[in-house]
Amino acid sequence: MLPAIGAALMIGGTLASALQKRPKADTSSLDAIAGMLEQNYKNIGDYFNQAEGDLATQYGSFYGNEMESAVNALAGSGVFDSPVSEKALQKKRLALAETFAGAKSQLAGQKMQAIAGADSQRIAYLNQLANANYQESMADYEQRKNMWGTIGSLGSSLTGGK
Amino acid sequence: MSKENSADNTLKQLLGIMPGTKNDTAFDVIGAALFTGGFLQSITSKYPKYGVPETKQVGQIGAMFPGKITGIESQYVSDLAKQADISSKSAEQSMIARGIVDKDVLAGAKGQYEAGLSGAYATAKTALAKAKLGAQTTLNNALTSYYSSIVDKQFKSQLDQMASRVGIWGTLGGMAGSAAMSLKNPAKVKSRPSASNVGQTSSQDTDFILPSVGDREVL
Repeated sequence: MLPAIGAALMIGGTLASALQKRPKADTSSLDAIAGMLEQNYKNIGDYFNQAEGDLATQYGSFYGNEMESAVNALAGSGVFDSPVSEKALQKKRLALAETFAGAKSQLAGQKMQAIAGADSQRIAYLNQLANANYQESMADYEQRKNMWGTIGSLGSSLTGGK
Repeated sequence: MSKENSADNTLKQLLGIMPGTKNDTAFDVIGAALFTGGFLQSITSKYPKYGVPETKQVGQIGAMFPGKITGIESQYVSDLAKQADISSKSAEQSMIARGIVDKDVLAGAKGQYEAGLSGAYATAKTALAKAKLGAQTTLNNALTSYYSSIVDKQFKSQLDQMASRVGIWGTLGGMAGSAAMSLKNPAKVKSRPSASNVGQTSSQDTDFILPSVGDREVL
């Protein structure tokens, strides 16, 4: 009776330890981060599209106002001669073009930096993800190794001794 | 139990399997199959590699970044060219409205305007080039940090893999050595219990006869 109980406990214990379910890691926080990063890229695109549209609109108004002011200033100074006034207006146009280029350059630079920042965040996230996935894979590997090792030991016990 | 039977303390004894019987052989076969299967699965199980899919994604991010930056730069140049064209046409219309209709004069004025633009844009383009370099540096820092971390972890993973393999082969070697030693010094063949010798306590066949009261302390 006792040997039979012992055998049953030995086999049962071996199988129970081999088939034990391992806990799964909670990756919900990493999934949330992935969602935030995707939203971040979208937000960057939306923001700069809006900003560029606003700049184009505002510059158009600004250009018109500045040129009108320049013409009025010339007329107010009694400068009506076309070549002379045209030269002055040409300089005004170049100054406005420089202002426009500066504003566009700033916006483009900010967009480049925003994308670099978003990509850097994504790389940091992938570093975290690699760690979490590796730990998950290792736990799975250890469980399988232990299970097969236990089965092998059981086999060894069955063949042992004559 | 006697000393010569100490090697026989196996699961089969607990299960009451008699040596030399069909059950004994069957269990040997089952045991050998389980042992072989367990060993083969242990050595053929794929050891996980650190960060393979993630490193591929990081590589893609690094490869795509210059294209994104070039795209922004191209858009910038295109927008400037468009604005310059609008300004130039506006200037030409303004001159025509003022009575300057000579084509050579108009062409000359346009040429002067465009030449002036390159000077107007120079500062802005320099600032954009600086921003581009800054953005690339930001990304390079992130890439460097990632790859430095991954190299270290991948090396540790390979060390752990090597240790795991050494353990498995070491176990096999140990068991093979034990098997070789047991073949070299085989245990004595025990006679099957029969009706005539049940209850006898001779040293030759104590193993397979249930112990009497006097033998319990030995067990």
